Amino acid sequence: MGLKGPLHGLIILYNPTFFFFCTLSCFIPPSPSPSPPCSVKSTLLEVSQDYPKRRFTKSSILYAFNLQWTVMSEMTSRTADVMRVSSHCEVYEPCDDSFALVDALLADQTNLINHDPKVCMEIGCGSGYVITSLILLLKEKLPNVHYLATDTNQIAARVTNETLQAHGVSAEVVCTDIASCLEERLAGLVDVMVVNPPYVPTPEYEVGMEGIASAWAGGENGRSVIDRVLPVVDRLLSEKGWFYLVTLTSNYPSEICLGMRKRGYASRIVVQRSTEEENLIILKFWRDKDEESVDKETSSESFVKQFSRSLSSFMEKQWR
Amino acid sequence: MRLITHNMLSCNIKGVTNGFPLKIEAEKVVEKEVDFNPDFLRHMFAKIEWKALVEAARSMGYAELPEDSPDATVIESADETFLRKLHHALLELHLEEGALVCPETGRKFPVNKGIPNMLLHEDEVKQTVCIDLRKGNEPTRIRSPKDRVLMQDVCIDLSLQVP
Repeated sequence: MGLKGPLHGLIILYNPTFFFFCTLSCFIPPSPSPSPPCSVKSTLLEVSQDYPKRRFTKSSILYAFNLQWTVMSEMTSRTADVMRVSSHCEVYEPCDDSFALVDALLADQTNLINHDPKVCMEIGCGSGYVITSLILLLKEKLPNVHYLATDTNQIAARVTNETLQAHGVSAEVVCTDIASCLEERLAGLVDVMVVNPPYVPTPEYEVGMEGIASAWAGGENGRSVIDRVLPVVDRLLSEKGWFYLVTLTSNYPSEICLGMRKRGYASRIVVQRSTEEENLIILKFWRDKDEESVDKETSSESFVKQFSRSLSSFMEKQWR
Repeated sequence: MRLITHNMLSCNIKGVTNGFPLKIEAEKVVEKEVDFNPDFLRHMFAKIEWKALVEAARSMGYAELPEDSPDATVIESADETFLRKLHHALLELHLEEGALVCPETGRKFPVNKGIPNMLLHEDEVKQTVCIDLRKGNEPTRIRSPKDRVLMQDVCIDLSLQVP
């Protein structure tokens, strides 16, 4: 995962374990990271120009850098390492949407561990970045979880296997359309479902074509595949099942939530992120019956969220 | 592919009513050690189709599971001999190379490098097509011009009204 300066501090803020470190590192402007991605470069430059005004000593900057480095190295060990993700020209490589989804899982990590899932599943695993990250996130606290991953692209299934092996973890990879061969017997067994569907609005005929097109072609409003996935997920999820879904604003996520509401699911936004090309929204769904208990679980987290938001706006004002 | 996954797989070719369990044709079986966790096994046991597991384990060269499904007392008891056997069959046996065969049609699904390929040919897929008369759109699930010839079970939602 790229170094994202102030952004990555915010991401970790959702995670109470890092809370202490981040409040510390957030008050000190981030030091330029070794190889910042282009999009972050400009903001970093602006920040570094501010250094003299803010009268930070060299040692405090170094200290901030060290702190950030420790936080980050711990973070990278918790999710899959992009350098070790296998690739192929016919398989979608981890991109902003995959990172946003993994960040959402990372933000929800404590809840996920308390959730104690027995079976976790990803539909459309592609390069295997997300499922590998999910395994690494849970592995330490929950060593015995059964992981399943499916993809309609045979090469993607193979690449996922390679990525899993490179990280020394294992999951069961099946090559199938959505989850058609598992629907009957796996119904009601999946405790955590993760889906990064093909969501890009395209002409309808592009949907379901072979190779890499199947990773992004989403038909009208990007909803063709999403609308097929939702009933399958509903069938597979257990009573306490959770479901994470990547959507764009152009997929009409509120409509998706409304549709799931009719199936008896409550929902919330876990991560919202605008990149150069798209507005990503990571949604989380859970069965409504448990709404009360989930609310309790997330209340501490929403506090952290609110706090991080006010903190970031405060920092922005300060820097100006 | 482990046998726990095999126990969840079924063949869903159009028209097939009983696509479970798939027969295993094993070419290469690998054993990988996994940490023993009785709680996980107890949780999964209720969902396992016993006969299918015994048959599958046998075709992979492991014949130590009892023929009849053991009752709850054996599962809950402190004696772990049975659970150890279940653990080995469910989680440690991997089918690396071979095939899965549909019990009804005999259709073979290849397993390569541990990944079962359950993709269906176009004429095997169950088609449900919805034609939206309001927009005069193409049926939503047509993927290629070839599909149009293959569609057999066309369903039109007549509740939609033409303006």
